[in-house]
Amino acid sequence: MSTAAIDRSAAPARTRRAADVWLWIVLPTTAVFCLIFATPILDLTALSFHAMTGPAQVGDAFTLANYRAFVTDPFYLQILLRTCWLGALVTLGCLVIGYPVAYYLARTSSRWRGMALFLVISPLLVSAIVRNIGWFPLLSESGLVNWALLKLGVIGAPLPLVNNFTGVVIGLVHALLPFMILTLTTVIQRIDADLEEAAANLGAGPLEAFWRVLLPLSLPGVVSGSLLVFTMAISAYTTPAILGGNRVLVMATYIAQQFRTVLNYPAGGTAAALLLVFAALLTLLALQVRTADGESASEGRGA
Amino acid sequence: MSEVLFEKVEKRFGDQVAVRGIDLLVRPGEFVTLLGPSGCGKTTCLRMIAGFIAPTSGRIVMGGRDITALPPYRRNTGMVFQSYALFPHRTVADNIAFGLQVRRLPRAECEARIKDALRLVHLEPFADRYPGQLSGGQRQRVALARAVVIRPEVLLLDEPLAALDLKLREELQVEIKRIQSTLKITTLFVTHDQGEALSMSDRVAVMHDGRIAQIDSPEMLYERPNSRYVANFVGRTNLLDVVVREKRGDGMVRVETDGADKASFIAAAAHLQIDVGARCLLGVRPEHFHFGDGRANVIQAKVRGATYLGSIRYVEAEGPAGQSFVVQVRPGEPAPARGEVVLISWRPESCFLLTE
Amino acid sequence: MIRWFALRATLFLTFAFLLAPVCVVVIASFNGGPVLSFPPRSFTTHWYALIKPEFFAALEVSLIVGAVTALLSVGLGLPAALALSRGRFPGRDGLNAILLSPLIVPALVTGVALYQFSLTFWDLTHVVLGGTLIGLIVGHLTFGIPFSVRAILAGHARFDYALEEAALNLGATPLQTFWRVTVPVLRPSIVAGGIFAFVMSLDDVPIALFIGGGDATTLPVRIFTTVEFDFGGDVMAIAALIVGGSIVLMLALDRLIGLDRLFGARA
Repeated sequence: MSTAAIDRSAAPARTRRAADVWLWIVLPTTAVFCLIFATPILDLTALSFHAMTGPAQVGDAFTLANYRAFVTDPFYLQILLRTCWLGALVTLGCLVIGYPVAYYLARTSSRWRGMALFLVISPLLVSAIVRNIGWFPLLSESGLVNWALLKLGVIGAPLPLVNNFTGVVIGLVHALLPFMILTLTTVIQRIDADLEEAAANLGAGPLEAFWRVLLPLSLPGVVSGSLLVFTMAISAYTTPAILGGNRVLVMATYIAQQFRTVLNYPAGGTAAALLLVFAALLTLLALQVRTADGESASEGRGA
Repeated sequence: MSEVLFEKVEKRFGDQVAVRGIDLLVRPGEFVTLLGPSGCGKTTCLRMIAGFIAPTSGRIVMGGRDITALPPYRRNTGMVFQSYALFPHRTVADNIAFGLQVRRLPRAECEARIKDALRLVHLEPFADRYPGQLSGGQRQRVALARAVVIRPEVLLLDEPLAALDLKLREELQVEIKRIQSTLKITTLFVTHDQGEALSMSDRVAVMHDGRIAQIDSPEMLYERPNSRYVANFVGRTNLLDVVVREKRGDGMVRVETDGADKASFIAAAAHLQIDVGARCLLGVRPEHFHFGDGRANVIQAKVRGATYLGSIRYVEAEGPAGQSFVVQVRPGEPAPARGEVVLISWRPESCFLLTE
Repeated sequence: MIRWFALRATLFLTFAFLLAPVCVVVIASFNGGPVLSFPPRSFTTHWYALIKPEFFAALEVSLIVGAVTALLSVGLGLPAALALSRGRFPGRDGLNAILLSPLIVPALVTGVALYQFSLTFWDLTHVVLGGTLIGLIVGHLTFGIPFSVRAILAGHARFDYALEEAALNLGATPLQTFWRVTVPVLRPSIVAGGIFAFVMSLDDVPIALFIGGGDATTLPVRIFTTVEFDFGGDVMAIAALIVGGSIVLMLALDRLIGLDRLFGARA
């Protein structure tokens, strides 16, 4: 194995040999990877171009019917819309709840900061399954929230908060909130605190300072963070499956349903391919926004 | 202790030539410094001896062995890096032990050698500390101990003191010199600090643009530089444009300045092939100038200003043809005032001629 | 003043929101009445006694798969990370993107892709992947390898090559240098990558759901399928045990990582 210290600028043959070594070293990992990941994904994509000929049966002919169905059949369009709606609600929820917390974490110098950060990440350290299970005693008809609302006389009958779309939204907001908070904290930290003081000095109240200074400057980071949370929300499976009581059909649960019970593999494969492309594009877009923001962030600084 | 020989060693990086056909011989036990500004090729030469860079052409011979094609781990050189490169995951003692362990020396011998090495650099109480817990100077000494404990044929030091402050640097210069002369290891030292080079070395090779401009003892380098580059790089020099008028029998020549006020001087030129009528430069170090006409070579100058540096003072003056002089004033000597016209004189043996 | 109070209240409510499910799990597991009703009116521990043995079997599967995944992820990730950060070969940037790409693919998609692949694989080779531990490990490597590569790449960003030069100079061959210097210096990020792969493996549902099955059922999948049909008190008890286990694991890691920093890069 050659190390970087060994000079590579001698005769071309020697350079080629040094590069070759690295190719050999990376070969096992690449081979394994292609086998366990690239091939299955390609296989799945190929599946989407075939028709279902029976439960768990797949025809041999190449067809675009699956994709056509997805963009024309209202059933599928409804699933797509529901998925996007879910993503939007969850992202909005995370933003509204997460921004104040992120602001606090970014600006405070209190000694509780470390503790607070830990609390923000702590839900992630416990398995997702556990978190989802924990929502049931809270959201069920005999659960804490309904008990409190009934006791306070706010409602007359228990609200259905779980095993439906509402439960999924609550669960996903909870699961993705730490990501939003951490992203926003970094974004706000990069904005010089002096700017808010300058705004105050010039007569802007806190709300105005937020609207005119903090929000515009944090916007790229907000967009980037939101895109990531949105992507994670539409990609999630466990939470929509459990908290939706297998009744909420978004892309992820639809795909699982096709492969587990309905056994229409091509339909499932098509939905999976679409979800994959959509998620990948959104993530790349988010990364693009983040890099662009990073480049311009340094321009606002003084010498 | 081995000698090191460079035979027409050249190094190219693509189109760039870093080292141009260098011939160099370092004798066994000698302390040679490669001195020069960044980019002159000194570090490249050092790394070629260590084996991290292969020469484009030429040979490197160490102790009679042609090591040009040998990988670094078969060369038996000990290198001290500028960044110390101490293994952070090993204690001081384990760092020093590394080279011995790789050579599979028996445990008892390892421990004995490590002990000696620690004693040599005065770091015995620190054996179980980690590099992160040491100061810069201490780390440097560990790096030194680690390099010498393997008893290398050649010791290589790559600007080891560059990251340290002045006091520490001076302390460690003495340390390194002491260790080197105790162990009598052939040593190659790379630095851009001429004070360091002059104080520590048996010989200094001044490098410029990939070549050795001059290699000589510190005294010869200082008193008889062979080029304007060396004269200016090592210490400060006053330079006068002169023409050779007469060659005298005793190895001295008489030269004369051009222009309206011709002034005549005697200078040593034994080693130069120089013809009557040739133009050259007359060099005088600031400390060899004296005020007044007490010495054989005299010139008139007008004082322009002075700079105070604590132990010495420099007086800037302008000569009859507009040349600038810097005169070093010794403590106790009165410094002339600005605007005063003075006489500056020096001894013929204290100046030198340069052809370029 | 109002602003201060409002901010404090928001923070308090948010943290309460974040911690609620986990705390509730533990409390509800001791509920004498129906586990889904809250607040509990009586205290009992009998749910814990009712935990079916298949959950412990599933725990064993999870731990084995997690450990093997972590080891293989790091073993395969280290050479790749080194090649990506030091090598200059054609296609390096492309390979970088490919190796990290699973992180943008939804886990569910990977899961069904692997399921489909296991069927194709059986058609071609008559080797069964679905419902086997090997299948589970393969499935978890799809995110284990990228996470390890990313962790090690991050740790390598500030690697001091002079350390390797020093080792070579002192007589160590390139292979010796790798084991005695390169790996120890990179150890914190290698360990981080392995831990990440382990934790993600323990937590995964979508991939293990589709490639596992039968005896090769991990704990989260076992819980998942149980909850789908019958949400009993024993599930709450298991969940509470997992919370306890996670806390212990966190404390242990804190101890380890603390010690690790001591022995790791300190210069």
